[in-house]
Amino acid sequence: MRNPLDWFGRREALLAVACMAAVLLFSILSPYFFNADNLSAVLNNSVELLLVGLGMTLLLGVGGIDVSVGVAMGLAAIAVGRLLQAGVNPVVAGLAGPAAGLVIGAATGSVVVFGRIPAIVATLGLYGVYRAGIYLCLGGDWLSGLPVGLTDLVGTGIAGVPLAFPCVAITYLALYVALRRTPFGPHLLAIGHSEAKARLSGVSVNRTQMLAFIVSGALMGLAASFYVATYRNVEMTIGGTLALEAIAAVVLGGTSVTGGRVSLVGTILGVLLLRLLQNGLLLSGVPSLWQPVVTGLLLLTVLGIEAAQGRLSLATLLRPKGGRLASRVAQ
Amino acid sequence: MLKTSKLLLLSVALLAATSGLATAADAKKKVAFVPQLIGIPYFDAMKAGGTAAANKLGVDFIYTGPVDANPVDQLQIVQNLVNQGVDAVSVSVLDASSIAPVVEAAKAKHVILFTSDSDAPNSGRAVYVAQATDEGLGDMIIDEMVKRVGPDAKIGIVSGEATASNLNAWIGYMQARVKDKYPKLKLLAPQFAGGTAQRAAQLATDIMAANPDLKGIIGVASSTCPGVAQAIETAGKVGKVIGTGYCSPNTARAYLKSGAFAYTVLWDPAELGYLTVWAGKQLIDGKPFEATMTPEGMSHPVTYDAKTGILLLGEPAVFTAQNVDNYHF
Amino acid sequence: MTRPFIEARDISKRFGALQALSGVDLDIFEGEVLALLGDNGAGKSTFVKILSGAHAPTGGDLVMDGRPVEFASPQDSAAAGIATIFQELALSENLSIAENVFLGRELTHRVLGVPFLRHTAMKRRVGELLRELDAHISDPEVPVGSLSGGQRQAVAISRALNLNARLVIMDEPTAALAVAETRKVLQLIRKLADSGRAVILVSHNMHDVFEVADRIAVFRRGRKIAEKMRAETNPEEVVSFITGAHPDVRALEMQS
Repeated sequence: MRNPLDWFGRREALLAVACMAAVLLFSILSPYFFNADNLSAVLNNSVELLLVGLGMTLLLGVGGIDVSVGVAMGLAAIAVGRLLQAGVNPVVAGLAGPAAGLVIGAATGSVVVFGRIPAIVATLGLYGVYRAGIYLCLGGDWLSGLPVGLTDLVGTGIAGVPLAFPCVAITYLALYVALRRTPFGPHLLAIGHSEAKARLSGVSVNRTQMLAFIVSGALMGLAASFYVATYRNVEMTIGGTLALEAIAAVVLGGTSVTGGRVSLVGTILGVLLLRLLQNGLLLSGVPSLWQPVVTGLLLLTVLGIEAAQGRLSLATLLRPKGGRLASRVAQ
Repeated sequence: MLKTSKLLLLSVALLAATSGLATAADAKKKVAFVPQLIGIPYFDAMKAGGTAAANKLGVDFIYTGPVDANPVDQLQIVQNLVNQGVDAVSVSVLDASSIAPVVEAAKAKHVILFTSDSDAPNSGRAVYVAQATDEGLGDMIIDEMVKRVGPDAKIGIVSGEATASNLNAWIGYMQARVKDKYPKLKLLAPQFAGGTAQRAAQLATDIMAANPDLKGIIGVASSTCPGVAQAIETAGKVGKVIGTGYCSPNTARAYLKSGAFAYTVLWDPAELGYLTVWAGKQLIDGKPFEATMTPEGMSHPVTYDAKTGILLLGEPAVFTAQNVDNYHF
Repeated sequence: MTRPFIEARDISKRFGALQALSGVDLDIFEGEVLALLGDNGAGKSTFVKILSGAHAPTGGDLVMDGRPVEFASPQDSAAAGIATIFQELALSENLSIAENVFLGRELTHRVLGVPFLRHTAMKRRVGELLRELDAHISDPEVPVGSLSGGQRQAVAISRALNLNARLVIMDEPTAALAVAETRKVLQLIRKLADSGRAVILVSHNMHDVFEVADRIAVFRRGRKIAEKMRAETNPEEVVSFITGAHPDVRALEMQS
């Protein structure tokens, strides 16, 4: 369970191997899989899930969850879309995404933290509220064919590198530093492990949880900007499955569903594996209907293995160990 | 806040409409239409068509409906209209199972109740004014595609939910059309995107990657149209892969203009609204529907099937870059 | 005798109809291990919770350095130099020793307002504490989840020491430990007192108490019924206080 290396542990290694195996397998199964166009399409399709997944990693790590994050992204996307429609500078419209996300994240966090409602229950309720919000904002129609300003901005990026790459990289680095180099990391993990104990130790539980929700919200808002830039569209059903996909990828990546252990690299690899499988299966002629089945089975397998290992390694955990063991922040 | 004021405005409008009704009860006949929800471009277009018909045919047209597609609210609105003694009420039904008692109540009050846009087949409604048949929609999209890519091509399909019966029916008729008329056309198995543009784009991208010789992609659910079009643009295949789908001019406008979509197929809700009011007048006047007829003020004939009680608007409409700006729904 | 670190004067605590404590007077001295004994519900836990700020007394005073003090919260009590090590320890098994010792009061330096952890300084400090306790843990980076029960007690004590606690309250520290581990923890407790800190040991284990305590206070039915220096008493007498079989107790309970 504990990682022998600082940021790249057993789960991460397993996922990396799984990704490589998937690439190898699909390269054999489909002549159209292994080429720059297709692989960059896979990466392109991963951007929103990567950002939302990294935010969800914090939430699961602190013992929370947010099943409303997908529809909340829809609300942030509406803000971005409406600004584009109004002819606002695309840079401003793009930044409005994370800003709106931050506000929504703070709202979600407030309900969970100050309402003292279990996160899963509170965010299920908020899912309905935000969904209705989308409905009211769009009035049954949807935003289509939005101006290309933001799309061009994101596509051109910095020195020819699409903006998504530095955004995900900076997000990862910032979260890595926050978790490893500031008190936010140990506080988050202590709360995820046991809220009561963390409180007894003088950890500011509410503040840390709020911060996790706000950061997750801002990342969700950033994802909204990328969504609008990429699809130039905000549909009524936006983000319906995003939260569940993100939770699946995060858990796949080795972050504990119950909190207290996080892996940022694991989340990134988890997202890539999900997207590789979706792409490769279709290219290999498997109907898209089967994609959720495959990813679902994958998740069950990983969690099953983990449960089995957990039972086995409990004994080893109780025995004192010498030597250097890394802490559980596998970045 | 915006919503509350909108709601307020609406109730005022409704009040005005109904009070107007009371004072002018002597002169014109009244036809009402209750959409699934108000304030969306699709039903706004139906309202515009209905108003045009009312002016042309000399009836009063009342347009009112729920603000949030709530079946209970819709039923209540219909009930109110019946109680107010409107001559004919048409409904775009939200919940087909609960409308039958209201039809009974309407009959008792000598109010004609019929359906438009969305039917309740076993409710006893007088007639169903239908926009297009599933078969017509399936045939039209394939015929238009063949016009552009020829009869010997490979076409991909991105649908919405695998459980949506109307989408599956359209796909079924597409496949039947190909089998009957274009045996060399290769229609790929449909991929199901659910409701998001992201997933539709992902699937469209993958279909294009898996089939380098692909000539066209059809987005079956209107929610898949933007994703499919965006995927074609992102892949740099505008012109090489013909995009299309069943989606409204508003949804497809940007993509029709960029060339990612060559055409889309749907019906014209303004015509449907016109036909609805015309049918209401016809029923009030006690005139029968003929198998084929051209209503006053319409440019093409409509058909009536006495067995099913369906009054059909006719062929679906095709929207292209040339005509899309004439439509606003 | 030196002045006590804390004097409890006529402390009482009532929970609704239940009189959990009544009229407890007790002095707590630095450099001394004070054992609190008593049956379940005798009031020793309630007394400890009043000291640690978890409960406010209904009556009586706590006096520190000659002045009455009030603890509205565990934070107040901690600020006054009182550290409580609960039976369940309140450690995070998923965090390292160093992270646990500093949890909630990490050493940081701010860069552009962002508090960055001073890993090296914290590690050094924890190393010192563990050496001082002679805990035989070489690496402060080891996760607490991989430690034995006794080692975890050492970590909890390190945490208390790091707070510069002048009074360390330990609730049943040996309850779940094997014999060798228990010895180790008792040594730690002795070391704490010898370094000039006050220690309160709540325990059921007579053997432990007589091995390490300097003074023994027995609680029964919410009252302090006996207080003896270890040398003045023996386990049999203490047991008779606890069970109420001692003639003094009988006399006392007859009165009331």
